Amino acid sequence: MHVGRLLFLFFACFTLAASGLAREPKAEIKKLSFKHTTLQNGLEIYSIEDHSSPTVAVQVWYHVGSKDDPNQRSGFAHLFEHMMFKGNEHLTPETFEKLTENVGGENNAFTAPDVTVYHEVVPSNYLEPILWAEAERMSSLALNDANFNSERDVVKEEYRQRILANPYGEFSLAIDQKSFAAHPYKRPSIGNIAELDAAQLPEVKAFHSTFYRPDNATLIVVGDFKASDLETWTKKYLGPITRPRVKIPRVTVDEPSRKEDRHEVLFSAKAPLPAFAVTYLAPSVRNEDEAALDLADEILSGGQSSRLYQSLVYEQQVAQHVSFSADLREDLGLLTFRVIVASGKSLPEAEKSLNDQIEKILKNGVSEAELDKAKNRFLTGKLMERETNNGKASALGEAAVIYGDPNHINTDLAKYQAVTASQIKDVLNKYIAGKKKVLIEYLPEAKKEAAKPEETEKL
Amino acid sequence: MKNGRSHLLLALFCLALGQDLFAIGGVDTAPPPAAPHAVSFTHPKETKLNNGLRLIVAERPNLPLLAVELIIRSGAEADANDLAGTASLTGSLLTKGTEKMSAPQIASAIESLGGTIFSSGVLDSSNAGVLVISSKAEAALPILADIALHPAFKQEEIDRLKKQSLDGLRVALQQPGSVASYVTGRVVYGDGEYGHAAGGTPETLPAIQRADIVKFYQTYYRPDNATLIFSGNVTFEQGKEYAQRFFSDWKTDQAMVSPISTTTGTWKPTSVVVDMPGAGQASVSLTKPAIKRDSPDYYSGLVANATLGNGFTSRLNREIRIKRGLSYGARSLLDARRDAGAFTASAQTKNESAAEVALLLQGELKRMKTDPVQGDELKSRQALLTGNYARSLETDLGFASQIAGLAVFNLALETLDKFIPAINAVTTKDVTTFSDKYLATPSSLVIVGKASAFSDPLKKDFPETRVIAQTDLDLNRADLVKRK
Repeated sequence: MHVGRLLFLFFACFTLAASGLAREPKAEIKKLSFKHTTLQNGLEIYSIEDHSSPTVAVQVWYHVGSKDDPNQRSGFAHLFEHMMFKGNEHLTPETFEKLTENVGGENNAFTAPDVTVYHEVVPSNYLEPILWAEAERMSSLALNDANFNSERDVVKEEYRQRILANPYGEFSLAIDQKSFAAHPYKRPSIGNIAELDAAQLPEVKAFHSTFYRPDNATLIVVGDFKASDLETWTKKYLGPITRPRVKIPRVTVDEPSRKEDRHEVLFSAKAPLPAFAVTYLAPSVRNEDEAALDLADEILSGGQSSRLYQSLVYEQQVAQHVSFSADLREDLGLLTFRVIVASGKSLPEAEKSLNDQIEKILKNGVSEAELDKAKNRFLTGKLMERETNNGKASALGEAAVIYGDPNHINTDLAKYQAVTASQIKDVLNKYIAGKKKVLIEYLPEAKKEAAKPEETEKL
Repeated sequence: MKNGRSHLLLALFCLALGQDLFAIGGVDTAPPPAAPHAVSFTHPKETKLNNGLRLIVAERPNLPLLAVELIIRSGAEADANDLAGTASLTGSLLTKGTEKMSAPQIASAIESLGGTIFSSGVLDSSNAGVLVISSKAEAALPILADIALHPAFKQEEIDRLKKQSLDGLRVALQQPGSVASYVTGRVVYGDGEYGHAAGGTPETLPAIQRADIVKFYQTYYRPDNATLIFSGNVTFEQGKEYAQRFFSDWKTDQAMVSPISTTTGTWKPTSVVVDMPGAGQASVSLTKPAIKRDSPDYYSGLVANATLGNGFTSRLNREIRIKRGLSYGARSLLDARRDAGAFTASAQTKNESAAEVALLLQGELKRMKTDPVQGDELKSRQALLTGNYARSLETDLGFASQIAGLAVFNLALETLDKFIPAINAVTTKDVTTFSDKYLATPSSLVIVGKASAFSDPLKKDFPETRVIAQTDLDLNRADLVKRK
């Protein structure tokens, strides 16, 4: 629970489901009409009233993520996320469970590179108390050594479960670490045991006062409520929280452009099959190329009819797994190809197959049929997101905070619909052709003999 | 940090000020909840086609989506032990080619509609289904019918899937959690029909021949052993018409099969450690046979299980995660099946804490009897179960899958409406009776991890533990040890 590194997948899911509907405009999707208000203390509130089920989804998006981890404290934003459940003088630990799962709702949170999101679904009669509880933890936290240390142990177990118990956990961590040279995106959200151990209780308080403030937060409420009640309750509970006068610190590091290709080799005692990743630097999620890159993502690796699955997994059988992700974040992103090599095949064989596919799409572009397919899959994904209050709340939060434009939930379809096949070819060439790549190889320990010692690094 | 010290002090000052203001202007205690709003669900309708196929339609017109699932009441329990994985391969191969369409053509046709297609074989059931925008149903349904009624089982596809499954197993066998799930199956069921790995093992998958797959398909994939479920933007009349048009040709000339009768073998409590010297964590489980899905104890069992290990504030999570920080999450599962399924309580922890976690799991199972769930704790677990249930019905696929869960066990559709009142009617006495019978009695212990880190402390409380080296593990055998 209190997810951490799911973060990445979470956004991957959003970007994977790329597109609109070029040829068949009749399958219209209803616009979501939302209300927006800003409290005097700077808190942004977006809401959608929908009485189709007696539940309300509540999300608080804080504009702080693992890129804001303090120096030498990799994993701190995520560790902090766990501490947000530990309460203060008015808010006993487990209040969130008492107001959610114990009355039939649910709650969780996740830390992403750019944001930390706390989300609940409650029976609609619990909206007022859950808003009170969110206001309490926005206003202050009060931990002691005992609950700080014990929750830190939980986070270390989360690290062991996600990274150490998983044969490809360290491979996933290495992708960001090796792909960014300067930007704090190179530090994994989950952190590492040594830096988690180094964290001190007073740092929790400092992090709260620096980033957990109303003018750095966005409240999303979707479901069964009356607009007048929501207005009264948000004013009553969240209104009195003061806005500090100091500016919110922001990451301003510029990632330098790559001067040369890099080749990193890592070894694992647990990985039964070799794996490798190839990354290129990509633009911000707010860049105009975003829609075309998302559609390229879908065409290359969305579903079993995608290019990479068809060629590497199905036809040539050189890969046990292959994916491409346009992993675009607030400051910049990565275009990441990942391959786990099939047994009986060599890494160079798989690498050659991948390079052939990349060359082919850069040279010949994509077909109209592939583009239509990607747009149709995007539309279905968008409809599925609308099935639940929580799905709608996530979409609205992402639009407001990540895209910086709440209307994105209603305008993205047309944006994807307008993308042409030649644009997709152009953006892929823009970010890949002639650009410097980072190649990360992750090899079973048994292959270590074959590699040169100076190229190797033990995780 | 970008801001200097003076700014940081100012920030702390502002926070203190904020708290002061809050004490004056804000509210220090939680407001009470308002009166609850009632939950209501669609009532699905059903009928039967002439060929014996049961049809169930849930009209959910809210969004232009449609989920269609064909569920077969047989699966991996019907595998021969030395051909474990037959049901799983058979199910997965449906989308890999028909007499008319190749695997890439099927994937491309459905994905071009923006939809997804799936098929699988697991314990007690097999399935095939699609999720599409409802206006594309006319194009998607012939493909679903084709893969279910006319799979080709081409040798080339069988070979490809076997190879992919074996590579998947190679990865799974390096993860303590998945090794533990294979091992608990054997520990609870021994040679019984639920004992083998449903997805097959490194030894059985290569042994499965096309003839085994074809035979499995011909025996169990038949209209009178299946239910077709529509959930989404469709009317009952339209659903019937679709079913008639695409599934009424489905015939079988073989005699009806009765479901496999399973046994739990001769289970007795035992302790097993699988030594994985490289494991990054230890997986610790207590497990034992429990109840059938149609048992009168089912709802009491769900409440007992929820008290123990379902949800963040369950007893196991409270003791192991919240109080002691020993795991990212501790949980339990009551896996009610056609025959008696297993109860399993588990947590992953650092190797050094495995013995401590085993003892904590054991203590909490016993405490179900000595410290009965009642009052607010009981109410909270009932609310957790009914809330999770209501949310599972929010999506078209979720609703279809709840119906499929009933159809597999031949349970009446009214069971959908019974769930919430039945859970709310469970009393302290019901849970205690269930716990006496199934939880507080001895269980089997399974630990998969680096044995050198926990074998000494483990000896004290579990002296009779068998240690199996990872290299000696044989999932094909009830005793789990490779024959030398």
